[in-house]
Amino acid sequence: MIRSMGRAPTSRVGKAGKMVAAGLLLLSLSGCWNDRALNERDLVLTMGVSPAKKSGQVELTFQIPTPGGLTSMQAGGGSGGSSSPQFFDVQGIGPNFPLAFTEAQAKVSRDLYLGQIEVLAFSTKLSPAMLHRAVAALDRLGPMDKTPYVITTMGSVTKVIAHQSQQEKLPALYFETLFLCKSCQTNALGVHFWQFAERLHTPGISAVLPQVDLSSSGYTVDKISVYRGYHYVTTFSPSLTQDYGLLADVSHKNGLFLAKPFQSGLRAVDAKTSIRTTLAKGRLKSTLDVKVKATLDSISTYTATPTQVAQVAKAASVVLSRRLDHFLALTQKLDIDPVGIGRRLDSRHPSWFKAAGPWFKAYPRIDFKVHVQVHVRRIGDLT
Amino acid sequence: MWPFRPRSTAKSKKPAQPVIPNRLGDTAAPHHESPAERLMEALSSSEKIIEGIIPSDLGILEDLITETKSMENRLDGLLDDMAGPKESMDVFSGNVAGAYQRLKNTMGQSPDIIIRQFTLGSKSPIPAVLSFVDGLASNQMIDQDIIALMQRYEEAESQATSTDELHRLVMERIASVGHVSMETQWTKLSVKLMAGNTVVFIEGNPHVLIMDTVKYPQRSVSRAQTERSVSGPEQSFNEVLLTQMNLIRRQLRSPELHFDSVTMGSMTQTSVVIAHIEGLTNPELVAAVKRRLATAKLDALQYAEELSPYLVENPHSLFPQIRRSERVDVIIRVLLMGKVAIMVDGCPRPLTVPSTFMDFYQTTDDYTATFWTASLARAVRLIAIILGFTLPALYIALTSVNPDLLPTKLVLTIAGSREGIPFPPIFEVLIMWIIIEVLREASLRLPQSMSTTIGTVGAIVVGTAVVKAGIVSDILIVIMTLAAVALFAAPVFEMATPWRVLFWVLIASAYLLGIYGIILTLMMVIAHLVSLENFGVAYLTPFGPLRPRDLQDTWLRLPYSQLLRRPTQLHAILPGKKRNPPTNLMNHPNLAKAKARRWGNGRD
Repeated sequence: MIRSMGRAPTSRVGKAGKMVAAGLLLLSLSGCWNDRALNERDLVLTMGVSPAKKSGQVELTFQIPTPGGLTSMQAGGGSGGSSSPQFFDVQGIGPNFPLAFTEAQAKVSRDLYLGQIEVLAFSTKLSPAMLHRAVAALDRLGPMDKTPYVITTMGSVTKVIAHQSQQEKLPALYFETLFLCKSCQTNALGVHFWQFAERLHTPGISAVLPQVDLSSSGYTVDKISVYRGYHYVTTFSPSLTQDYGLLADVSHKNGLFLAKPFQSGLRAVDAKTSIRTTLAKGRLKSTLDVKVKATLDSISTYTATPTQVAQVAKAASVVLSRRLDHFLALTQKLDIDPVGIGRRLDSRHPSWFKAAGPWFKAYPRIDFKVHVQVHVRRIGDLT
Repeated sequence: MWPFRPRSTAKSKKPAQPVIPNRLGDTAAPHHESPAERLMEALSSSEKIIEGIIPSDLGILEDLITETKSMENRLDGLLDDMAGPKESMDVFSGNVAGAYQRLKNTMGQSPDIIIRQFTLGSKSPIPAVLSFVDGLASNQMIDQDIIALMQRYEEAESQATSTDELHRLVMERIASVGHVSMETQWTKLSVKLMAGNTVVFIEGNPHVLIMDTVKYPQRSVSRAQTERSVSGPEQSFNEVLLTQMNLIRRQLRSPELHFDSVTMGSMTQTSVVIAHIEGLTNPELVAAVKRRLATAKLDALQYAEELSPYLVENPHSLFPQIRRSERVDVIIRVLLMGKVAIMVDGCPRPLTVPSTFMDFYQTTDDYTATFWTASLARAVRLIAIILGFTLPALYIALTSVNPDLLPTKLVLTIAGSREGIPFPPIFEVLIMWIIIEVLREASLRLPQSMSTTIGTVGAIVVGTAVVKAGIVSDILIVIMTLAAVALFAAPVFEMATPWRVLFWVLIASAYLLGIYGIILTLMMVIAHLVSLENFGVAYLTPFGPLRPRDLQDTWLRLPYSQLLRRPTQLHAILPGKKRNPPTNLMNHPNLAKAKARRWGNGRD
């Protein structure tokens, strides 16, 4: 009895102490003590990474909406006619990413907040080492999630991200709108940062990024930059980008004109490609079955009979087959695998993929066979 | 100067004399104080007292004299009543004069107690006394009853041969009327007198007649004010217990409906009725309710809410655990579910036990509309809880701590609206919430016509003004308005309070820990809700513990044809409801023939 009476206060103290300790631990775990209101941060929406003029140094460009721009956004967004600048750019140059960021931070009074970056713009002139460092630094960046879209440009990154389109006040919003709606684009070329980083580190596939050119109305996004590892290799023309879209299942609003027969035009060309790779006599053979669906848009006969539609489909199959053969030959010539044939082989036949050796040496030796089957729909057809 | 010298002073100054024994046989009388000396002594002591008297002492003295007189009167009344041979002071002796004095000097000192003396019979009149509380008893009923009593006496006079027989005859005939009972103990008859009954004392008869002449001053049965209904019945309870029972009985005519009455409050003597349906409600539940009520030792029971601590197992919880309703239909529905209703005289909102969290989100309209409408309304209430409780906290967390979780366009819109605002988001929320609470409190206290104006003016003018003044952002106005309205979407007013209190906790958590803090707080609230239990029924049932069969009438209300079982956790004696499926009218032979003629035999 005496013992229990003596122990009770101790246990109460112990319980209270444990609860206080648990509360303190919870608070210390939060890591949110440096919270700051939104309007006390500089919200970076677009970040550009390009080589500085001085060799070996990287230039970071941060695009931040101005207070006036933010207020006009609140009024409903869109392409308003406000005369005040909607955003401003801050540059930082340094031998590495952190130092360049530090220099940029020193130029603004508020916290440069990277948690809302929507677009990362890389210059194609970045050296492999510099791109590697940039990707590694961005990968470790705490506040930034891995979802920003990545674009490339052959010109000045600063100019690209400072360019204003007619549709959106802020370039970041333009690219967000563009890439979010996959079926709205000719080819769904949007690549998130995590997808880009994953391709850079996955054997058997080349990283592909949409390349942006400036136009009078805003931007043109109909080309892709292709990387072999961290090496920038080439930029595909719009036509080759369409072929890539057919093979990579990202084609949505492509068009095709056939002089013969009937000067027919096809639109909404989309495709599903199945790839089957086999190993015969030590050589890899890849068969690509491309099933294309397209809508008959125009025909010189004005009315299309089933026979005429079949003739158009056959002609389209021949043309596309030829184009895709040429596309694959070009990729073999450049030692790049943008479609990811190697990755598919690795997932299905890892031993074959391993036996093939370095993929960018094995890829040019693959025997490709392309089968294209076009199904032409008439306007009003349900299938 | 006082003209006489006090005797005591003179005595004290008198020199001591030698005592000489009387040996001569002289029997002279011993010295005695004269009346004059005694008077002198009294006057002298009075002089001393009066010298120290101040004006307030005079008031006290007057009170003392009054109380003493009152006490004297009471004692006189008691002594008069005790004049005859009797077993106890509490028993009426049959002495009407004594009873009159006792009444007059005790309860009769209050102006609303009426005491009248009269006689019964014409040949040999017998003295009698009647008493009632003016205002609580019906004068018309008193007149009728007294005339009837007089008639009975006159009729009995011719038949009776003795006084005792006369009393016996009258009592037999009077008591058979129905609303007349007899009592012999003062403690009991005084309580009945105070309840509005009329007591009649008859000389020589130890039985006091208690005539039920109760006429309650009561509010009419009106529309429910706090639980309004769009399409359901409108009747609500008033404060009178008998009316409450009548309203229930009128719609629930089963003889199995039981009202068990207990009296609580040693001073107020408040009637409390425990209602349940015998043969349906779990008897263990009824017994438990009675047991718990018996533990309440109160001197006064004024509000039903005072019983809550004795009925619930966690009386300090923020969440209401006893559903109260002023609606008659709700109480009947609850009784039919197998629950118990507790009605307290003077309180128009009976308590229902055991209550669950879901009970506070069910309304009459849910049962008078189609199941689609009811389910939609309940879903809206659920959304309202979530929105009202979490929206301001989410605003703080997402604008201060975790802005990376917001979509870019929304971030830009919020950041734009916050441009130029000098306060952090938490202060914005606090300012707005205080404004809303002040407006709410003010509109509650004002007359209804003005409260609407204050509400509207406050919402529009203050809302617009604080935005124009740059104190809060316009997005926050939207959020706070939605939150304030949503929290009051609970059909039962009491349920809004816990959310309003926890709101502050959630705000603090959001500010300190962001989304993590919100989730943590929500988990704690849910854990607390899960831990609550009353009469063996979990508060969060049928969600925790999960009882899928009881989900039929929760956030979704299934059609009546599916509501065939009473809640499992109540362990009702009749777990199922009697309801046959509706017959297909087209199966009627005549209709089937008509259909066949119209469509042919091959078609259904």
